[in-house]
Amino acid sequence: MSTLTSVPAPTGAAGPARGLRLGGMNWLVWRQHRAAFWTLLAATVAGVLLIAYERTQLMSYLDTQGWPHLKDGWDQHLDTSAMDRISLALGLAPVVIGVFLGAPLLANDLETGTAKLVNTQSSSRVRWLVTKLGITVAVTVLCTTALSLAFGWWWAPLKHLTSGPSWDSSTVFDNTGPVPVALTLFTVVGGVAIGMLLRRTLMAMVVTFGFGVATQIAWAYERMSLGHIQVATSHNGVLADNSFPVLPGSAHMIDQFYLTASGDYIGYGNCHEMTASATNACLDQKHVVGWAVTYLNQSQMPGMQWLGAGILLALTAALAAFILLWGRKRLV
Amino acid sequence: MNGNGAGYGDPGEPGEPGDGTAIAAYGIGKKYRRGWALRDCSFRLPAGRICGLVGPNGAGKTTLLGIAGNLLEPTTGTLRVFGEAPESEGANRRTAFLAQEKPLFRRFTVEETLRLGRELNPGWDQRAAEDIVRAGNVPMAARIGTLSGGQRTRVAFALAFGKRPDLLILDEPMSDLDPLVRHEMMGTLLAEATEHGTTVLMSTHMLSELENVCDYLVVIAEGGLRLAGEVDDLLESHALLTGAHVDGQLPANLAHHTVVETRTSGRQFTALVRPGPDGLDGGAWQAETPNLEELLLGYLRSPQAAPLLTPSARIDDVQAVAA
Amino acid sequence: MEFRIDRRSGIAAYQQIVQQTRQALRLGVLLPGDRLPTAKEVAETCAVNPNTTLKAYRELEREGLVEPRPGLGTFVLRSLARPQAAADGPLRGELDAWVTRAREAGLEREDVAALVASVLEERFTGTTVAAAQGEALDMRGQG
Repeated sequence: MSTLTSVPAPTGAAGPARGLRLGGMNWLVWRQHRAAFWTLLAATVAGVLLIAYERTQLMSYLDTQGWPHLKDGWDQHLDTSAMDRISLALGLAPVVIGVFLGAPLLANDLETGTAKLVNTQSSSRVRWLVTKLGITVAVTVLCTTALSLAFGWWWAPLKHLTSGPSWDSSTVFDNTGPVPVALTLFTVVGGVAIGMLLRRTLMAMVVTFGFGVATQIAWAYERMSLGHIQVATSHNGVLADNSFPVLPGSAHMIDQFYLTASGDYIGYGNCHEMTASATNACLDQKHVVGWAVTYLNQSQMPGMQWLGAGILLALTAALAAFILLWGRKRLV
Repeated sequence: MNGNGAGYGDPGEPGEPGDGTAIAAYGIGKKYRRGWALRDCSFRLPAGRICGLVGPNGAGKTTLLGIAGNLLEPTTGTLRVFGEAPESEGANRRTAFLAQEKPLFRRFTVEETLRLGRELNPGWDQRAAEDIVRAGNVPMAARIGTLSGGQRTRVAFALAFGKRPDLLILDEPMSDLDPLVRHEMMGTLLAEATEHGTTVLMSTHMLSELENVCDYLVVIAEGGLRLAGEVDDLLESHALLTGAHVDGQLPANLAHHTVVETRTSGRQFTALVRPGPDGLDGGAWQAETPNLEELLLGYLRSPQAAPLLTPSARIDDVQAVAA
Repeated sequence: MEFRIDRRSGIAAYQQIVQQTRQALRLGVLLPGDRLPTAKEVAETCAVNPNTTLKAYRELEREGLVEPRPGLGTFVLRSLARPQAAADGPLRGELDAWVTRAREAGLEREDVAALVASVLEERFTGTTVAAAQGEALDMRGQG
């Protein structure tokens, strides 16, 4: 042991540069949670490697089908079950990270008293909270962004094709772009807040699990409400085979209505009569001229993802602000 | 540093430590959901003292220490540490706090625990911290979770002393230690405090911890202040009277003094009093100066007795206004 | 020189330090020019408040036995050792012979101490009886 009695210089300034040298509060937070952080980083690397492997499998199949000019029936032997399985695992990530990283982040310190230990050193409580949240958020963003990019890259060849998971499925929508990052951040920071309020690690993990699942369910319900609804209409009546309007190939259909001469939409359950003539009479009487179909076009996907992610990130920021304001006064 | 560190090490100096004020409490109170834990406490702790904070369990000791150590905010009143608010950077830097449960990160090694102190405290004294750890033969590479209670306390002490505090606050520091380690840690504590002129405020309910260790005393009971001041002054301003009572009638002239507590046993009565201005002569009793234990027990048994603060422990109005 | 503070003796710690220092001066354990342990050293070994030690040293200083030298410590000024009381002095030899005889006569340690204490009280009436008793007890402890 050296006879170091003076104050070590602040982060990075001391001695020869040895790569990334953490100092001060950053060192403490990393040291305290390094097992969780390294686990997360390792799992991310494994996930990215797995996705990369699966993508080479996909591409070699597509190559046999003449990619990028695919022959007819190219998708007869297309197997995208790996994509569904991995997306399911990725879908669990927000809950798992929230429960195992978010919930104990403050709850454990409050439960074991180490919050007192840290807060009776010379650095301020806000500094402690900001560093804890900051490093956790940074690691979470790094990992989820990497996985999101990898998954998007895997799906990209299928993006404009009619087979494989479509853009509006949870498989694709929730695992690409900013969505997984925002969902995870929201669950993790929510878990931190829950842990701060409950002050018990195990209870915080259980409650955070419920919070994460509820978030996923709410998201699944609201996901497709994020788009700007488009309408396609036809004026060839409603009975002929070709009377239905043509939608863009990958559109997400929401609902369909009868279109009347006055431009109103009425439910297509109307005029469900016994005989064709009665039906026709009914349709005539209501002046039904064709179909109106509401849908979301695939081109809306990035906008919807960013809108949803934006809402989640705003909520996350509000939670983080709450943690700082509450914790500044009441922690320990 | 406040420069009174030399005072102890050099016996030639007068024994009075620096005349600054380490802690000044102005009517502080703390209310929890279940009620008041501490009410209207005003006192002063001069710098350089080793002060015992005594009271029964639940008297508000931990609350008072928590307020001084910036872990709690008072509901009423204010407290100043070296003239600054506890949450200020200055006060924070000059104060070290050792909680009763001596929390440490169980997965950290001893070395990492000391590094924690080094990373978070600008005035860190690595050698002082290491010396304390080494004196107990605690291996630097051992994880905290594998250490014995005494070793863990030693590491917690090292962390507190490595900060080089001017005020060291300890909540029941010796409660879970065996007698040998307790004696050793008390010696270490006193030696460090002596060398650096550290003001020490430690709570305890073990009288043996106080005797010969503390030169200052703050006694609280049921959330209120009972006694505060130099141990010697407090002892000398009391007398323990013993005599014979007549059918339960205590001598009438006992009323000339402030009676803290009276007890009778057979024909004998014992009274702990604060002598009135005329002195103790003329009573049918024998007067003695009480020892610390008799004084403390008397006050703890008689919560209704008027509190006593010696002049050095009083907060006068001028100071209160200035604060 | 190391002090032994007995917390159950009922004697104030500073008085114990004074007595033990006097004792050491009397027995020649401390000689003029010797340095007394600093308040820090006493605090470390005995867990005694430094002010207690300083109070004791001030008392010894008033008695002219020790002298503080700023920045250096507290030093012994004069000895209380009397040649007669030295380990090889004739008085000690006589006492030794007397104690041996008392023991042969069947007296227990306590009997001897009580006998000595009572004679001391007789011969030294008016002087500090309590101190003499304390010293007698100390001598017994070291006998």
